[in-house]
Amino acid sequence: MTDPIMRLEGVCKGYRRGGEEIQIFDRLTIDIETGAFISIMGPSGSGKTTLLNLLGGLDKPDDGRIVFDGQEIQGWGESRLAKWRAANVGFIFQFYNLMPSMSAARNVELPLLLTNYSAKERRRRVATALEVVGLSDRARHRPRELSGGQQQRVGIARAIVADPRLLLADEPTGDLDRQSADEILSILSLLNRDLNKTVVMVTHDPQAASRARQELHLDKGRFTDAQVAAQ
Amino acid sequence: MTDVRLILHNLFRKLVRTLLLITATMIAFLIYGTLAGFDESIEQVYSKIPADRLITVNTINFTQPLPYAYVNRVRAIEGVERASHANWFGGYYREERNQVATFAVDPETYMDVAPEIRVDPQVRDRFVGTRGAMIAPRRLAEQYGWQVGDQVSLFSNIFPRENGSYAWPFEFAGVYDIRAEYGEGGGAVLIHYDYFNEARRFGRDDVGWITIDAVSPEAADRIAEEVDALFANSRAQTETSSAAAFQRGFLEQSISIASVVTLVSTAGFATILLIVGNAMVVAIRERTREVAVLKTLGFGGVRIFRLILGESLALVLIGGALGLGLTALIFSMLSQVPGNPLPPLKLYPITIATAVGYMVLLGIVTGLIPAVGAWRLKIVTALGRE
Ligand SMILES: Nc1ncnc2c1ncn2[C@@H]1O[C@H](COP(=O)(O)OP(=O)(O)O)[C@@H](O)[C@H]1O
Ligand SMILES: [Mg+2]
Repeated sequence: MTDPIMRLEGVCKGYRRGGEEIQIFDRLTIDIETGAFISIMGPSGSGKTTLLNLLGGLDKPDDGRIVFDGQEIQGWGESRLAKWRAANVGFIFQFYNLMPSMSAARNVELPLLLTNYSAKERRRRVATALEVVGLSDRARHRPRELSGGQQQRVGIARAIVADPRLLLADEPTGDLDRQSADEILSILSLLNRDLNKTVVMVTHDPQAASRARQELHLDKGRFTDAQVAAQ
Repeated sequence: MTDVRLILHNLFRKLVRTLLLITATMIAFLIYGTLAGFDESIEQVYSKIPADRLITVNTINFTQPLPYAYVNRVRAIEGVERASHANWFGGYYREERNQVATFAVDPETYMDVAPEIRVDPQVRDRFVGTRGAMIAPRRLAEQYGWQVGDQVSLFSNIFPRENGSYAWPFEFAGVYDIRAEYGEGGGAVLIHYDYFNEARRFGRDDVGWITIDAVSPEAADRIAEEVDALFANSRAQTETSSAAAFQRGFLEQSISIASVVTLVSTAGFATILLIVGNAMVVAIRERTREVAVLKTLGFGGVRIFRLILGESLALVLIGGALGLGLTALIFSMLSQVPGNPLPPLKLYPITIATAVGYMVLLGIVTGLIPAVGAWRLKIVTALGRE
């Protein structure tokens, strides 16, 4: 096996709510191998979103280490993490989170505004990303002019346009009908298989989970799968 | 560049709201531009009044007369290059609504202390050499059709002649021009003091005010003190000040322009601060989720801070520029109104620079709260509100 692209090591994370401390993760350890396509299932409140937030540098662990490509990121400041995310991580949200006032193409272009690419180069990359998700003919549409499935495909195009190695998807099909969900999952599979993206996908849907190459189950802040528990 | 695009995109996504805010800002800066521009334009005229020129008036107020004898006593003071005098005649032509500002002056010297007057030497000689002569600003002469050699009767609001008549006959000796920098509308009809003085029933041998040219601006201060000291124990005491200060005081008798500028502009700017400031807070709060998404994509806090501050700055700068543009338009239209009594109104660089300074300040202050909020926004909490 190749080196893990990401590794959580002994991660602890808790929240204080109304004076009461709730522990979500207690010394959680997991490797995410480069090129993996992992689905994470688990009941509501089991810590799935929190896990993705930690992987994406949106949240910080109380204890433990988060290692990306050999570098510990848990101690980094906001702006360093932002730069790191821009270059290495693509996010896909359940409710798409597109800018309602911008066209599909402008939405997809956003991450490229953090690069030094020329306007021409940005246009070229946006066109490519929209082509990958099969939405070249909708480039000028606003989000509200698109179906849920199409909006999620714009969301995916935005996540991949800057060519990050890691994709984090939080219930990407949670708001979609079966057919649209299948299309989204096919795109994620393609990105993983053909473009070598590492994908971590949280989902409620067993059918969606089964499309991943590795299915993990989270319950009360612990993975119940033997291979992770062994780590 | 891309940031400018993002800023303008965000600014104009709620078109009606943004246009209303821009209009409000425009009005505030129209008010500021007009008042401050007016003040500065007057200031510019004052600044052309030589620093070595003084005006002496009665200490009670400038409508009270001074004895004629003062003129020669002033002329005798060391450092006085020349002194001239004038009286307010209070004239009108034919009907009382045709008010004509008229000064009874010493014809030999008055034009040397009236820098706004540009007169043809021939006209000047004809005026000086004819006791009953009058000259008038070109605009006025054209308005009433006065031709050289005409007999023109002006009525005084104040002074009857010895025969009891308020009608004073003059011979029209020609026109003079007012130098452009002093404005189209100013200027008075000039008549001879001697002719006026000998024929008036009361007030004989009084002058209204004395204008003094000192040899140098440094001498002027000393002369002012000496003049007032000279008459300190006389029946009519004097108050001598620089001509510029006197003019300003004259204008600011009824209103202090500077304080009106401050008062009204402060009110206008405070309103803008509240309206735009509140609108920005609301606009950014509506976009909390978008800000969190941008941060997730890797936009740094500083960049987002800049985008939001840029938005409020752009709004105020657009509105402010429109307001100043409108001011310039109004000023240029006013300057084309025939016979307007104002000094030439212009937006001077200093007024524009100050206005832009206020725009930047307002733009920053109105955007600051939401910008800091967005900068500090925690992604996890903001996105957690699904
Ligand atoms: N910002 C927060 N403050 C307090 N509690 C939180 C916060 N975020 C998550 N939690 C709590 O942590 C637990 C795990 O949340 P989450 O990771 O969102 O679960 P999942 O995505 O699996 O439903 C839940 O009990 C949730 O209420
Ligand atoms: Mg969740």
